[in-house]
This record gives sequence, C-alpha cells and structure tokens, in this order.
Amino acid sequence: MRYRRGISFWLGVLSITLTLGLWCASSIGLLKHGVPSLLDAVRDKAIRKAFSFSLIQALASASLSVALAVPIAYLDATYDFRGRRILKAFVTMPFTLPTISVALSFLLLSRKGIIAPGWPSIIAAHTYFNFGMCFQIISATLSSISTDMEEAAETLGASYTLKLRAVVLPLISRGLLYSFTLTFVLCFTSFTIPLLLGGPRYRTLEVEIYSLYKVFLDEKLASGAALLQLFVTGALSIAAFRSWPAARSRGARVRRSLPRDPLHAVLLAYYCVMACLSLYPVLYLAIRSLFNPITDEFSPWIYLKVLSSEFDPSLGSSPLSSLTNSLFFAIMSSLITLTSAGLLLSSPARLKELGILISLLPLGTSSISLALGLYSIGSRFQVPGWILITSSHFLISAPFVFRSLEAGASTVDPTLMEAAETLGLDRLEATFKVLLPLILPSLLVGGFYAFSMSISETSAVALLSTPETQTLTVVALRYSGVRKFQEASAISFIVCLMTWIPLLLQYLVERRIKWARR
Amino acid sequence: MVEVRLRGVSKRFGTTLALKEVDLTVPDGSITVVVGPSGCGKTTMLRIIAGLEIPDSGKVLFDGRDVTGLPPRDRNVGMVFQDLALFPHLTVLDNVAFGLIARGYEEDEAKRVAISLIRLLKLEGLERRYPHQLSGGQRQRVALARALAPNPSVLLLDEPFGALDARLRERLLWEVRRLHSERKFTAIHVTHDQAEALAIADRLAIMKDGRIIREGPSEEVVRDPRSEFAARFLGANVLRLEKVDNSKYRIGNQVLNLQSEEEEVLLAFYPEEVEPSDEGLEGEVKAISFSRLGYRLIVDVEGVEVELLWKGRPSQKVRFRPTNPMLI
Repeated sequence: MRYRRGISFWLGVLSITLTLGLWCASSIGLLKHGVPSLLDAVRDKAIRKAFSFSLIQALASASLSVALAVPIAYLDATYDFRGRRILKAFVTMPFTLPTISVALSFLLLSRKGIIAPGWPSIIAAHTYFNFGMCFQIISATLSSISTDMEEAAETLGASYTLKLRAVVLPLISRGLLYSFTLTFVLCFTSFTIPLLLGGPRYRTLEVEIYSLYKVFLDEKLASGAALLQLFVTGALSIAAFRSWPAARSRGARVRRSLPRDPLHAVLLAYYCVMACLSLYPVLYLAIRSLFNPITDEFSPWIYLKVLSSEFDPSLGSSPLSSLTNSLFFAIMSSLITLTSAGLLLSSPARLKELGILISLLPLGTSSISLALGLYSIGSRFQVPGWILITSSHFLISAPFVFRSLEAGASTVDPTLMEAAETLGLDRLEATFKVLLPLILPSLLVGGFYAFSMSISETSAVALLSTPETQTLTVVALRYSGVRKFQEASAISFIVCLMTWIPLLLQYLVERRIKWARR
Repeated sequence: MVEVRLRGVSKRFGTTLALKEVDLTVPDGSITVVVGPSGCGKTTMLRIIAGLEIPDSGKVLFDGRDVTGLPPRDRNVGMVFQDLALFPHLTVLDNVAFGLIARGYEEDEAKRVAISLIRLLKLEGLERRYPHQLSGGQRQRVALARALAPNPSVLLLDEPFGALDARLRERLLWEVRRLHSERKFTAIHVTHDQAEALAIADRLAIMKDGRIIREGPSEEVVRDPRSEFAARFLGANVLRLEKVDNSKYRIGNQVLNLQSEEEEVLLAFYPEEVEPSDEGLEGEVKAISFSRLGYRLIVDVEGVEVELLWKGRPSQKVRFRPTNPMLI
C-alpha cells in the first residue's frame, strides 16, 4: 500500500530543506577554498599549536568536570536530605550562564589574583561552566538505575567499595563517557573563554580561526583551520551521540535517607563547597558591575549608562541598539526554529526521524566554523548580515530544540492521532487539534530554550556582526577589550538576567506539565 | 537455617506509619508467606528483615541474636526482588557468582559453586548469556540461583513471580518448594495473591494496615481466619446473621441453623465448601461461568453477593448450605 503524500509530508520536506540547506551552505562556504586550504592549515605552525592547546585544555577540563561531578551526582541521585534541591540548583546554575559572563568573571578573578591567569584560568572556567552539565547527565544516568541493583549487591554481601566498583560504575559508564565526550567537544570548540582568558599565548583553534579571519583577514587559512576543526568535532560529536546513555533497568530509583557516618558527612560537605563555588563567580560579577574603581564607590547608575541610546565611539553604535538587536535575533531565531520543528513533527514518521537526524548535523560544527561558512557563502550573494546571524542562531539551537520537542511529542500516545484520523481528520488537522495542544508545554519550553541560546550566543555573532548588528554579548566583549570592566560586567549581568528569565519561565512551564499529568 | 523473630517493629515514612508494632515468628526451616493487599507494609517488613531498612523501634532477632542494626551483608540473607534486580552488565554465571565473590570466595571456587546452582535450577547452557537475552521464567531462575548461591540462612522473596503467567508461576513455586527441601533454609515470601500464598506456605501471616492480624500454620489460618478481613482476603464469603432464638440465625427473611451463643455472627465459608440443601439459604443467580471444577456462580442472598462453586447445572435460584461454616 502506498501513502498519498499530503501537505504534512511537503511541509516536513520544507523543514528539512531549511536545516540541511543552511548547514550545507555553511559547509560549502568552508570548502570554497578547497582541500589546499586544509593542507595549508595543517602545515601552519600557529594553527598546529592552537590545535594542540585545544586538545590538551579540553582533555584536562573534561576530565576535571567529570571527576568533580561524580561524587555529588551519586549523593544527589541516591539520597534525600534537607536542602538537596537548592544545592542542586546552585551547582547546575553555571551551565545556564552565558559564556561571556563566565569568561568575564574569571578574567576579573584572575586580575584580582584569585586564579592564576592563562591556562589555569581557562581550565577553571571550562570546568566551572561544564561541571553542572556533567552532574546533570551522571545524575540522570544514575536515576535510571533501580535502587534494587545496589540493594541486591548489599544482600549478596558486597561491601561499599565492591558495590560501587562492580555494580554502580559499570552501569553508569556510558553516562560518564557521554558527559566526558560532550564536555570535551564543548571545551574544544570554546571561543569566548579562551579569547578573554588566554591572551596571545594560550589560543584555541576557535580563537585562531577568529583571529585569522577578523584580524589577519586571511579567509583562506581561516577556512582551512575551520575544516580541520570540523573533522575533529564531527567525529567527537558522533562519539558523544553514540555514547548516549540508555536506561539500563526499568525499576524506579528511590532516594534513601542520608546515612549519618563520616563518609557521607564528607560527601555532603563537598557538595556544599561546590554549591558555594558555583555561586561565587557570578556574585563577584554582579558586585563588580556596581563598583567603579576610579571613584572607588558603588553605584547602580552604570546600568542606565550601558543601556543608553547615546552613541558610544568604542562600540560604533549605541548600547541600546545592541539590546534591540539581541532581542530581534532571539525572537526571530526562536520563531523559525519552533516553526521548523513543528512542521517536522507533523510529518510522517520516517521523514520525522530523518529530519531529527539532520537537525543534529550542526552539533558537529563549532559556532565559529558555522558562522565563517555562512559568511563565505553569504558574501558572494550579498546576503544581509542580520539574515546570516539569524540563520547561525537557528542552526546552533536546532539540535537542542528539535530533540526536546521530539521528546515531548514522543510522550503523546500515537493512538490519539490515529483515533483523530479515524474520526475524519487529515494528518495536518489532527496535528493542530490533537498533537499541538498536547505538546504546547514542550513547544513553549523549546521556544524559551532557543531564545536563551540566541541571547547568550557570542562566537557566531562576534564573527558576523558589524556595529549596526552587534548584540549585547559582543558589546560586553568589546568593553572588556578596551578594559571597561565595569561596563562589561554590567552588560554581562544583563545578559545573565535575559537568559535566566526564559529559563525561569521554562521551569514554570515544566512544573505545569508535571501538574497536568498528576 | 535460623528462626526469625520480629518484636514490636515499627517504621514510619514521613507521615505514613508503614509498620505498627509488628510481632512475627518465622520458625527455623519453614516457608512463611506474608500475605496482604498492596501498601499494607509487607515489603517494608521484608526489607527490615534483610537490613535494607532500619526500624524506628523494635527488634529483629535471628536465632535470638539481635541483628537490628546489622547491614545486609552481615546477616547472611538472600533476597529475590520484585523486579529481580539482575545486574544487566553481568552474564548469568557472573550474576550467580557475585554473592560468592563478595563473601570472599576465590573466583574459581565461586564459579564452580555458581555452576552447581545453575544446574540445580536447570539453567545449563545459559551461563554466558546476559539477562536481556533470557525469557521471563529464566530470569526468575537466575535471580533464585543468585540469591541461593551463597547458601543463605534466610531466603526472602518479594513478590518475584507476580509478572509471570499462572502456569509458569505455579511451576516456579514448586521449584522453590523443591529447593527448600533440598537445601534447607528459612524462607519468607510476601505476596498479595492468596492462591500463590496457599500453594507454597507452611505458615501464613495476614497483614492489614501495617499490622499482622492473623498468623499460624497455613491450614489453621485457612480453617479459622478469626476476622472478616482475613476471611475475605483468603477468598471466603462472609454473611452477617442475627440470632432469632436458640440455634436459629436470620439474614433478611431467611433462617439458618448455627451453633453459637452470640447475638450476631459473621458466617464465613469458601465457595467450594457448599452443598445443595432445602434447609439452607436461597439466592438468585446473577452470573455464571464454567470451570473444570464446576460452575462458578455469583448469587444474591438477601442483597449480599456471594460466590459459589456449584457441581451440577444451576437453575435461576439455588438453595445451599455451607459444609464447613466458620463463625467469626
């Protein structure tokens, strides 16, 4: 039997074409200078040095993030105790911060002498930023393992260490591998943190590509370096995707009360210390934004100054225009991402699977490489800068938003759609009348997520923007470049707040979903 | 083999009192089945015996020795969990040998003992398989073999056969009986299924709302449940009758001869323990189903529905008399 290809099929094709088309355009842009540019990049000493440093710092940061996260993930997933939720919120908070805010706060801390400048501050900032994500992944993997597994080991006579070594660690090994590879990819392609903290000596490949393109105006070598990075991140992303931890057992994990013994007291103390350390940099940034080192006094008026409509020669535009740019790009990219994801979800199952797979392609490409590719192809056809920035933000948020929406849709019983179709609706009508109301909360969550990602994005917009199209994150970067740290801190803190508001709304919507299911 | 005693054991989870002053004696070498509805506290009691939960008050005694504060590994218990909890990353052989290695056996020795258990549970040829490569019944056997391998003094079974079909469940219950007579251990099995309980139990303990309301040899408990809840849980019909005079008791407009001094009695009887009688109770048949043992009838007796197992073909109305009436 052959299915008649209805409008939902063609709308799905449209969604896939948009994602695949933009990704291919970016890749073609990088390939514009062909294989010789890649060979030039491999032969270039500075690029080789940046490549080695990228690898070493990513390895160190990922190892440290995972190692620090394991004990508290185990504590959090296994035991219940007073204050657990608040501690969890504190340690996961850094991952919600815009990278510009993390980079700037660690720059200020290193200038204050609290952290050694150079590579130690880069590794510390990467660990700070990714630690919460590793904690979440490992904790989620542990939560999928039934408590019965550990209890069975205990009744069979296993000691605490044997239980951890022979039962818990093998069962969470995929979660550990996944969090390690994902952190590695994020650190390897990190831009803002090494740009601000590394100086001329400690440059990652991402910073090198940016400098080649923006400072040395060598687009060919920049494309070659981006291609080199594309191969590495592509391979690593596939590895990360393959190590995605599947739920190993069906039983629910029940949290037990925390035993009162020295070992668990030490673990709890460690958890508290990590929670305090998670808060420290962002609090320091907030305080620093209010402190004027010239007058040596605290003043909140800096926030009015950094959002004024007056022209600032160090930016080439007014700060207020960067705020409107940020909002414009965030709203545009969120709407496009959501519409595209919505169209794909209403399409037939096989097409949907293909579309989700294609939406993951940008995950294997760094933001700078995506932006450079889009610029190379866009400049040939005179595409306006705002379209390129919106497209890059769409590609950056698509893998996360598409997957989160698909996860929301997969919780809807497929027989509901079939029931609607047997009652006379076509697939598109059934999508609007049955599926859409049911996945509306996930849709809103996806929208908030896309908005947050666009607001806090720094790398692509730093490469693509001009003074007329620059966003708040680029303004913060520029202010820190000219040593206006109070202004930079204030802008970074505003970006933090603009990222947190959608995340707070996302949290409230998720609570609503849970409430509705009860 | 040990005798297990619980003395005044209570356990609270938040505002819920899961166990209330529970006293239970499980004789050395017996199979005791704790039966009760979901949420009555039977799993909590089993977990306290295993050492997976610490009671808020009361004691757990193994052969008179207080083990209340001991961790599970120091109690020499074996436990089969409701979802079996087989280690998915270990083969059948490694799963069965796990407890032996944890108790300090050399690996070769542990594997030799594990293989003997695998043979005993008729799992030969599956040693190298992983749990997800086994059928439901095979997984239950592996879980049993793993729990029995370290030769525990007490075997605890937490409704492990609930997910199986009736035929396979019956076979595994017989398997547990066989292993019990071969290897000699004290077994405590919790279930909400009274048929499963009766199939295996030497002794029965009936739980309700965190308390044990009836305990004793299974035949004695079945013959004399002592409470309406226990009688109903064991599958008996219960009718409330009022005294008319001497040995005559009334329900609605019908009268039945019973030997009792009470003004009001609860008459309990099992569906299969009735016979046709002109002097018995009359009821209207509301539903009929056929089984190999006879016709199962739902009969309305003065507004109360009772279940009967009727030998002959029933008419619209039946008159019957309980052959083994139990007065509560």
